[in-house]
Amino acid sequence: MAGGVLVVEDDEDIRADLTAILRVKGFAVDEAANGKEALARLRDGERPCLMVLDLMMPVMNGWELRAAMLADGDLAKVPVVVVSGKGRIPPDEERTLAPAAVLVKPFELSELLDVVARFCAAGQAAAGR
Amino acid sequence: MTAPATIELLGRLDAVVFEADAKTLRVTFAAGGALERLGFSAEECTGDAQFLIKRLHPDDRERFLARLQEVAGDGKERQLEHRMVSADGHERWFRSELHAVAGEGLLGVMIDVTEARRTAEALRATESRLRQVINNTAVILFAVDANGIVTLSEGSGLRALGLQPSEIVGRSVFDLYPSELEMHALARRALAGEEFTSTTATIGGWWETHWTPLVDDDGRPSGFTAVSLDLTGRKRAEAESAQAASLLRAALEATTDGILVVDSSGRIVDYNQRFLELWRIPPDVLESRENGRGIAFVLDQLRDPESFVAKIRALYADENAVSHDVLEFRDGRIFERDSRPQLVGGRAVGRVWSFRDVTVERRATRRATFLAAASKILAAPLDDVTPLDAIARMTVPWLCDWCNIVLVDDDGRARSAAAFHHDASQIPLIRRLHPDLRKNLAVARVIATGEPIVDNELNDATLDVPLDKAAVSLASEEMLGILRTLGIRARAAVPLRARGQIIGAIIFASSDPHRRYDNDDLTLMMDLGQRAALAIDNHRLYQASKQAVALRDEFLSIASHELRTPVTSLQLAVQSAITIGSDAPAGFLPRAFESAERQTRRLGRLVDALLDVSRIQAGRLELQREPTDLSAIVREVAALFSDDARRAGCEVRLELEDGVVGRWDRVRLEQVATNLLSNAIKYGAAAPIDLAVRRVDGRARLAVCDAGIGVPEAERNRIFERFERAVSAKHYGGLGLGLYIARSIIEAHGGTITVTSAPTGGARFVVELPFD
Repeated sequence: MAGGVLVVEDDEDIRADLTAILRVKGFAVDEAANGKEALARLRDGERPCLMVLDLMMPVMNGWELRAAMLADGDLAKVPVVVVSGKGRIPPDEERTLAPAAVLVKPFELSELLDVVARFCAAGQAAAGR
Repeated sequence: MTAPATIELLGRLDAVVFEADAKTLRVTFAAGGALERLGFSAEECTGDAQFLIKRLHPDDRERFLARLQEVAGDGKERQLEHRMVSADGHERWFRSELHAVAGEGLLGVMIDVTEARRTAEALRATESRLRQVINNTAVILFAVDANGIVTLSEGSGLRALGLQPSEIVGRSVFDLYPSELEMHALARRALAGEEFTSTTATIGGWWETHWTPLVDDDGRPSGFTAVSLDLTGRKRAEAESAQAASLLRAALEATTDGILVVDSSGRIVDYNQRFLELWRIPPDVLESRENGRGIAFVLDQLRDPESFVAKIRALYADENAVSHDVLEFRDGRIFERDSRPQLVGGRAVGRVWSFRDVTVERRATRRATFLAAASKILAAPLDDVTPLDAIARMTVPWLCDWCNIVLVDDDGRARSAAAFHHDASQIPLIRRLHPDLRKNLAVARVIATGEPIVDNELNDATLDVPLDKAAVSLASEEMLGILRTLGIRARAAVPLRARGQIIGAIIFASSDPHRRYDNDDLTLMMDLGQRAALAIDNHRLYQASKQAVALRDEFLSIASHELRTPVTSLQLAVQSAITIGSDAPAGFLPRAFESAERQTRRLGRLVDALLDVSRIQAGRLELQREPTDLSAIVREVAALFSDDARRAGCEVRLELEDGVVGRWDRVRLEQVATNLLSNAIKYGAAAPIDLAVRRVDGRARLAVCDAGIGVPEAERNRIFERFERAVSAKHYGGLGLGLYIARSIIEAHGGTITVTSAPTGGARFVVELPFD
C-alpha cells in the first residue's frame, strides 16, 4: 500500500517548510535529513507515494541514494522528484538519476503541489505510520 | 798526230779529240780520257759510221750538226755546249770546238764540262735558296768594310724598315743613323775585331744582332758582317704575356675569394693570399705544391671532412664537372665552394677552386630563419613543455651539441624543463642537471643577475670554478660528474626573462674544442631566450587564467547553490503564507516567519562573505583596532549559535580565561569565531565542541576542537585557500570561504591559524594573535 510523501532534505528550514505546507494540503509527510536516513526507511519497508529528493546532502547525498534505490528492483519503482540546488540538471546526469520530475530551486510552490498531486492522494495517513 | 805517244797524251785529258768526214760525218779518229768515261773505245767510234749522230743527245743533235755544216761550209771554227749520251744511257755535257781541216775533214775537241756545270748549278740553287731565306726572314744581312762603308745589305728586315739595299750600300754605318749612338758603339767593337751578339731596342724595333769581324790575308781587321734578327714581334708578345700575367695576378689578389688552381695531376699551379687566409694555411704547407698536403691540413677544421674529400674525388674523376656547394666549419664558419675545369683548347688541364666566406650572410639568414621557426614553435599552444623540447632540439647541432632549458619552480628551485643532445641516450643525463641557485656558479649566476655568460675555454678542471673565481668549487660532485660525462668545452647561457623576472635560463654547450661562441651567437641566443621566456610566461598566465576561470566557475556554481537554498526557503515560506492565508493552522505562520528570518540572515552572511573576499583580494581589509576581549567575543558567538548547535546535536563547551584583551578589530574577530564555530557544527558529526581562550607565551590563543570528520593531512594547507574545502561539494554546502576569510583576518592582525587532526578524526583549529 502506497505511503505518503517522503521529504529528503538536509536544510532544516526548507524541510520544515515543505512538511508543513504539504500537511496543510492534506498529504501524509515523512522526513529524512540525508540519503542514509531515507534509505533506512525504505529498507524498513516504507513505500512513499513520492520522494522529494534534495541532491547535495552530507553523509549520503541524493546521487548515492538514487544509485542504491535503482540497484534494488523494488525501490526503483518509488517515484522521485529531484530538487536541484545547482540549476538545470545536465541530460546525462538526469538519465542516471531517472527522476519522475525535476524541480529547480527556487521553485514555485504550485509546481511542487502539482507534482505531488500527480502521485499522491490528499487525505492519506502518514506513510508507515 | 796519230802517233801512239800523242794518243797516250790525249788519254790523260778529260776530253775527246775526234776527226770526221765532213760529208758523211763518219768518225775517222777518236781519242781522249773522256771517251772512256762515255764508255766507248776508239774502235767503237770509228767502227760505226753513224756513231756521232747516234751518241749526240737528241735535243742537241740538230744544233751540233748545223754547226758542223757551218764549219765545213766556211772553214771557220765554231764552239758550242752540248750533251752526249754515254754507253750506259747517261747524258754528259761537253764544250766542243769544231775546226775545219784540210781535205774535207773536220776536227773536234770535246771537253767534258759535266762536273763544272753541276757545281755551278748547285751554287746557283744555293744562292737562290739563301736569297729566298734572307728575303723572307725578318733579318738584315750587311757587310761593312774596314772604313765602315756598307758593301752589302739584304733581307726582308730592310723592307720592314721601308729601305732598299741601294739606299744603304755605299754609305757609312755611322752616317746612316747618326743619332743611334749605341749602334755606333757596337759597330766600332766589330770593326775592332770582336765577335759578339747584341740585343738592342733601336731603329724602330727590337733587334738581336750577331757581329762577325772580317780579317784580311794578313790577319788585319777588314770590316765585319752582321746578321740582325727582328725581335719586335716576339718582344711585343712577351710584353703582352707579362701584362696578361700581371693582370691575372692583380685580379687574383684583389678578389675577396680564395682561389686555388690545381693541375690534372694534383699539383698546385697557383693560389692567392686570400686562399691561405681563408683556410688558415701557413705558406710553407703549399711549398711542395702538393694539393694532398693542403687538403690534409684543412680537414680538421671541417664539420664533415668525409663529404668534403668525397666531393673533391668526384670532381677530379669527372674533369669537366662544374660544382657549387657549401662547407661548414667546426668553429661555425661557412664557405661557398665553386669548382670548374681549367680549359686549354677545349681540353681540361686542371681545376680552379674558389672559396668565399659567407659566414656573415649565411648566419644572418640562418639566424632569421631559426628565429622565425622558433617563434612558430613557441606560438603553438603550450599545453605542456613539448614546444620547449622542440626549441632545445632545433638548437642542435647548429648552436650546440646539447641544450638545456632550465626553469625556476614556484619553490625557487631550478629544474630542467627541456633538453636535447645529438646523442639521445644522453638526454636523461642533462635532465638531471639542476643548477643549485644557492651557489654562485655559472647558470645560477645567470638566473640571479639576468646577465648572459659565455665561456669558450672550458675544460674538466675549469668546470667547477665559480665565475668570480673567488672560492673553491661549490658545485656538487654529481653535477660535475654529469658535465664531465657530457663533455663541455664551450658554453653560453642566457636568461629567460619575463615581465622583469628571471624565470630560468637556456644553456648551450659544445664538446667541440673548436667551438667559439661570439657576440653574434650570443645575440641570437638572447633573442631566442626572450621569445621562449615570453612564450613560457604566456603559457603560465594562460594556465593561471584557465585555473582562475575554472575556480570562478566552480565558485559561481557553489555561490548559486548557496544563494538558492535561502531563497528557496524564503519563497516557500512566503508562498505558503499566501496559499494558506487565514486557513493556516495555529503555529504555521510564526514558524514560517522564523524560518524566513533565519534565511534572510543567512543571505546577509553570504553577501558579507562575498564582499569580504573581494576586499581581501583588493588588499582593502582594514582593521579598526580597539581594546577587545577575546573571551567575551567567543562567549557571545557561542550563545548566538546555541540554537544551531543544539539542532546539529553538538554540545558546545567553553573554557575561557579572563582578561585576554588586545588591540584587535572586534567585528572581524567575531567573524573568525563565527566561521570556526559554524565549521565545527557543520562538520562536527553531532559530537561535543570545545572552545578555549587563553594566554600562551605572550600571545592570545583561541582553540576550536571538534570530534567530527577531521581534515586529512594533505588538505590542511589547502582548506585555508579561497573556494576550497576538504570534502566533496556534493555533500557539504557552503561557499568554501570561511577559513580563507578567517586566515586573512588573523594574518592582518599579525597572527597565525593552524589545524591539526588525529587519524581517528576530529579537528583542532588554533588561532594565535599578538596583543597589538
